[in-house]
Amino acid sequence: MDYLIEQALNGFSIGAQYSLLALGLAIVFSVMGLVNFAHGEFIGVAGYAMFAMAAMGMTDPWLLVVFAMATVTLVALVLERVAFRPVRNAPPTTGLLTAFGVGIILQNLFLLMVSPRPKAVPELSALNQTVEVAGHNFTILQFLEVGVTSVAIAGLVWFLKGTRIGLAMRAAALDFTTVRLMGMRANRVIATAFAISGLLASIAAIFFIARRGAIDPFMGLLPVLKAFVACVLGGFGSLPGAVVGGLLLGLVEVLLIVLLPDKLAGLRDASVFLIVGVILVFRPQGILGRRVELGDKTA
Amino acid sequence: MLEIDGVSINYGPVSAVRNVSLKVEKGEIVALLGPNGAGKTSLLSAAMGLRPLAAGSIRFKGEDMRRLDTESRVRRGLTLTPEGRKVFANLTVLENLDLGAATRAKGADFHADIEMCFELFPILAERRHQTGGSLSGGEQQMLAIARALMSRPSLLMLDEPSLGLAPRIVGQIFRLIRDLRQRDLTILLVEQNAHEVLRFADRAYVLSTGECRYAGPAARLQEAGALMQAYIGELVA
Amino acid sequence: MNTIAFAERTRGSRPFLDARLAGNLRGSLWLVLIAAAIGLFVMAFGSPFIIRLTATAFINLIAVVGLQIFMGNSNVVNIGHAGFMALGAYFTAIFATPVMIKASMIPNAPFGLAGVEVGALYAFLISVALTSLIGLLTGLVLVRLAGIAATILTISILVIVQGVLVTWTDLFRGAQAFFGIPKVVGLGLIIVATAAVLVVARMFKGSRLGVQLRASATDPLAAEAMGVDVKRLRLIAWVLGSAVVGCAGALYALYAGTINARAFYFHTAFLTLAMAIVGGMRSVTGAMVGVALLTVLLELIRILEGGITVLGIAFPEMLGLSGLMLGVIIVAVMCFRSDGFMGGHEIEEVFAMLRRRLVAGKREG
Repeated sequence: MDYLIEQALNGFSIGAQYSLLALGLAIVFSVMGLVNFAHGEFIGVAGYAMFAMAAMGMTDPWLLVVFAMATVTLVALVLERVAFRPVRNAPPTTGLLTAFGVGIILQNLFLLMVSPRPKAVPELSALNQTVEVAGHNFTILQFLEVGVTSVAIAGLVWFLKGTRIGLAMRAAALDFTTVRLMGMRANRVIATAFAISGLLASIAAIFFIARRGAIDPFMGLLPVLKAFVACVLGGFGSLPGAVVGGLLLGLVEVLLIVLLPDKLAGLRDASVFLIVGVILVFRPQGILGRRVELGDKTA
Repeated sequence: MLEIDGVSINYGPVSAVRNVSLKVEKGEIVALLGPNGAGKTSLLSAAMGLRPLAAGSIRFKGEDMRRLDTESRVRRGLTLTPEGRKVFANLTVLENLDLGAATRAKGADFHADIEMCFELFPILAERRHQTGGSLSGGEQQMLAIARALMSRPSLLMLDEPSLGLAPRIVGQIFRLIRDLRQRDLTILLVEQNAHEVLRFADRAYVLSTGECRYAGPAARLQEAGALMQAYIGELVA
Repeated sequence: MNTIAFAERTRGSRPFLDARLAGNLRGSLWLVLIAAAIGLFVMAFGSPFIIRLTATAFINLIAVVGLQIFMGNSNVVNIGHAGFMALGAYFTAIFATPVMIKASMIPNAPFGLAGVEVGALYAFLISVALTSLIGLLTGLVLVRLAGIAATILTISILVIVQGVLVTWTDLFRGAQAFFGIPKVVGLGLIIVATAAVLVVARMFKGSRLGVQLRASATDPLAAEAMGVDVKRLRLIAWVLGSAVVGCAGALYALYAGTINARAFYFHTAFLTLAMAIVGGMRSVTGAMVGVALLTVLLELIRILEGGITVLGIAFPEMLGLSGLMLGVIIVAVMCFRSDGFMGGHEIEEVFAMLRRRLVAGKREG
């Protein structure tokens, strides 16, 4: 029973990270139909921003966290302006491939400017301290992951329901042209979507880096693939679907770690993707998604 | 107020509108009539900057619109209620109206305008927390018009407001449009439902296969056979 | 021309069909001639390094053409092809490697595979057949999906294949290299295989199936309404593409003699995908142009990466430069010419255009 509770919280805290990443993907996708393959690189941006700050002697964890979040958000905005605006009205495949190119650029920038080898970022490792709550062992990080993610999601819901630009983003998911007919600036709506996706990714990134204590140029690839999986599980483009898909994925991963012997550890990721494949066979629209026909406008 | 001069619009190699000129003066209700595929919607889209012009010019309140994007045109008082209403189905009635006022700050007059809309369309007040998608066709049309009014336009362009509505509702919508004139609003109304519209429009244009076939007083088209003649041939005003 | 109307026209009218067949044959012939000319030139005059580079480029070309067969005709982004390359390579390795070597390398292989040794040719054929079979099984699932869900499934295939290769050590040696595969394939055979694959891809693209598939990619509903079975077409393209990609992997195994699962993962997937994009994935000629451009360019940048001295100035090592350029090229191509270098045109269409321009120019002159 103790074990179960500990593993469940573990699953939720890992799932929370995936939810944050998946939400960012889903927001950008729903507003402008772009499948942002470069989304995972935001984790790298956060990591290398922190590494650079630390190398210059600023090791205050709070400062690093704020700096990383600001950098990622800024990079998200710059990417939108430079790389994704030119392909805004292009077919979805073009957008996907552009994003894929952007991802390669960012990875190799990290490699070129810092090193191909992993680098330590130990400033946040204090978060991995264990605390005992009601006889169970948890890390501070696990509580932070669940707590901060809940706050972030609540904030996002408020933003989408309570602000005009939030309304515009929801409306744009269905009909961007009519949103423009209201006099709402398309550039502002899309830039906001990117800023939010970057901000959410930066939060997830900080948790990832705190867990690993190290960064490397390709650290974003697997998380973004997992975030894709979360999105597909929940129904691509659906925001509640992204959250549910992310949490589900976290639980499945923890379950696989528990179930698969170490000898088969190499099959953990493969099993996750196998489950995705099986789910897609029976529910091509995802778990929460609506049925999509071949001719529908999806990416 | 709106001057469309010698406008042509192409979709790739296909020409949708050829050399059409149209004028709307302040305070008028102008009807733009014509059969399906005549190019009416293309013309309105071009006026809003959603379609590029192949030739010609569009001026609004004396200002050349060609360089302005859609959003800026809305800010200058030009508003379109698109064909098929296009209310935001996943947003509530209030949220739809809120977005309609996207060009203005949310001050005291914003709330006054919401009240004004609810006065004009009492049914929307009842449904204010329902989503746009849950409304009936007629209610959606009212919401679309109310949403357009929220931007305080000087010229309201309506694309087929009667489309797919029951005759009783159509009558109601047209009465509302007629009443809007008293609110210092100029209206350009695109319709297939010609006879109803001609009863209250000041002037009318008839478009057929992308060309202007009639331009003149609405009353003249009400004469027996005149409309049919304009649709199929050329009626010189 | 409207592709739907085009597909419709291809149903009846024999003479038109024959004209199209002739066009495709002519186009294939041009591609084969150019590929063979480059290959033979390198064989005659190239240094061992250049020969190795060319052989790898041709194997990449086979993989890119396999990618083009599915992606170029169905418009679904595929990242799983590197997995099929891995399968082709490993199946060949298992069947072709001498029993003696396998006794020390994979003594506990299941199904008595440690004691099986067929000739390289049979190993190649078995491997392509098995890869196609796996293509068929995965394809039955894949064709039910559209857009990003289909792409996710191709990624799933890649990750699952990699996971199985790395984990099933008794059969695939896991993360360790699989060596001792007979090196029976040289540049000459690779050129022959490339030529065959180019012709297959061109004939498929130009066939009734290919035309209908492309029409369905631009407008699935209209194609369905016309009675085109989109799922069946996609399945055929997917299986054919898998077979061709598997063939690339098999050739690689027989050329290099040593293979490693890590070599068939995201890096390879992305590189070959980039080649397809840069050349323009809607045409077979584009695949060839993309492979040629990126191979030469990346090789030049790799010289820079190692740190060189130009006019007495020593440049430092710049690892990652080639990757960076690859990304920049992809983004630039997408922003400015999303149809790639060839813009979806085939070589004979370009010739025809040039000829028309030449004739028009003469008339004016």
